[in-house]
Amino acid sequence: MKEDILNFLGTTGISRLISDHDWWKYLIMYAIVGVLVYLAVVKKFEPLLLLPIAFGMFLANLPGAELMHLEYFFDDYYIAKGVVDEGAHASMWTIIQEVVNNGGLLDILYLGVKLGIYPSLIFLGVGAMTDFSPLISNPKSLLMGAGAQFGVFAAFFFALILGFTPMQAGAIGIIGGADGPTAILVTKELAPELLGAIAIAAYSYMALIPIIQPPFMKLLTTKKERAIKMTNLRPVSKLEKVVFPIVVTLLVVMIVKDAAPLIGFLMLGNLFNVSGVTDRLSKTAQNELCNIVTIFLGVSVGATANAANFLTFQTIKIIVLGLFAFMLSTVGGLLTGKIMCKISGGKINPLIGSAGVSAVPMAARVAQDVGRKEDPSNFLLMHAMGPNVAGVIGSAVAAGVFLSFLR
Amino acid sequence: MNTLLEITKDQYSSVTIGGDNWLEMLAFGAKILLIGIGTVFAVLALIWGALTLFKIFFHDLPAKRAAQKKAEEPEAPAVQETVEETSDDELIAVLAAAIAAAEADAGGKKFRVVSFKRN
Repeated sequence: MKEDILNFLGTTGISRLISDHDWWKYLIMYAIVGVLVYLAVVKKFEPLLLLPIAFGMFLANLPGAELMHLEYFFDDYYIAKGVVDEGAHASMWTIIQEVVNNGGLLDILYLGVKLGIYPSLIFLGVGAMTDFSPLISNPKSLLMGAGAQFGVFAAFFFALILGFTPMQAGAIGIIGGADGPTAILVTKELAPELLGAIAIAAYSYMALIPIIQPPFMKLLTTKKERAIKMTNLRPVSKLEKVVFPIVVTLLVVMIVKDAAPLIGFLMLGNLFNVSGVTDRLSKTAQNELCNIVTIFLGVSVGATANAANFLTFQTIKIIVLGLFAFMLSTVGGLLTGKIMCKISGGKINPLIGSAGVSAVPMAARVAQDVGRKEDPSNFLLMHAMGPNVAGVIGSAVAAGVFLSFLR
Repeated sequence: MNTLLEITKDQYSSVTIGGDNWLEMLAFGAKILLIGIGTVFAVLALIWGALTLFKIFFHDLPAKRAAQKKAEEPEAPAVQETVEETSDDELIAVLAAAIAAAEADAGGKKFRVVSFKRN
């Protein structure tokens, strides 16, 4: 009886925690989980994703629970087992077999990330929720969406300088795109070992946009520029709205084929919405499907951040570089906005350029708020939505560029 | 580009900060930076061009056609207003009573029926 009890106690998480000489790392991970839960629940920063990510981290760091076996997704594990030759890659089928036979719940959910299913399905929902009318009405705003991708490539460059491999640097750079699903898709392809840190950095900074952007917006624009009132946007016909997703898919994928999974599903979702004949599909993409995938994506991505691979100096560098990418993307969008303001003879408020960093619709709201602080009668939201949705397309193109050159 | 990619992928372990490969790596990074931002601008500028055509074909031309069609249509004969030359005391009394009833809540303001029109 006593022996049974002792055996049982030996299998408990408490026993494993005490016997592990890295026990303090678990405590740090719980503290990080606590901070993320606080940001999500109390501060309401991106709660739909931060909360599942935080809980995924929590589950992956429970000693003995073994819900996630990150090693199943890396070649080293199969090389050590002798299933794959040294230097060769484990096939997806080998990974799936291992996960199905020996994996835990989170391993199975993580297959959706590994296979690149979740980011595209999230984009389907984003497309169904997005109104591209401000962009169709004012196509010049596409340039601001392009300018705001500067931080992506600049952060890539600086990550290389800091000693990251080109593939890791690409995954870090894409944080500047301020687009969670895009960052996850690129990272799982180029540097899956960094997925936890990159996903957490990307979503945390997206949530912190109202804090990160305004100082740069005020620094790089004059009082007069911030007070510029823009003329009303022209109405957009249904025909334009229906043709738009088809044309954009064609143009983008013909040039950057690797952007197809993101742009294709973004535009399919949008077509569901604007066609007016697929309301049920549009609602499903926007609500049930998007919500279910968000849960799976958040929990499984969070679970990749275990104490062993997350508490490293590399993670700190990623967090710093991610912030740097966000800042430079904001600056890139603002400077493009300033140039367009000059060229247009002061008709474009450069503040809307900052919304080019994607993060729909928060970045557009920030542009609106900063503009209204200068002139309460100024209404920039719809104008800022143009660069904002252009940023979604821009970051998907940037992701396609990285995948084309670095994979 | 292939040579650089091969270097970055296969010989990365030999890259040391300040070394020759490191400089090559920086050159590679700068190249990707320029190609990347250039590609993003090019693709989005292409979409801008397409959307400009949208405006011409789906907005301006239909609006122009509609305006042209409206201009070509014969003008509908103007409805001739008929003004009653003679006053109808009985009808004026009925109208005055109806207005008085409607205005009762508004404090019983004084009013005078100046004209009315038959349809």
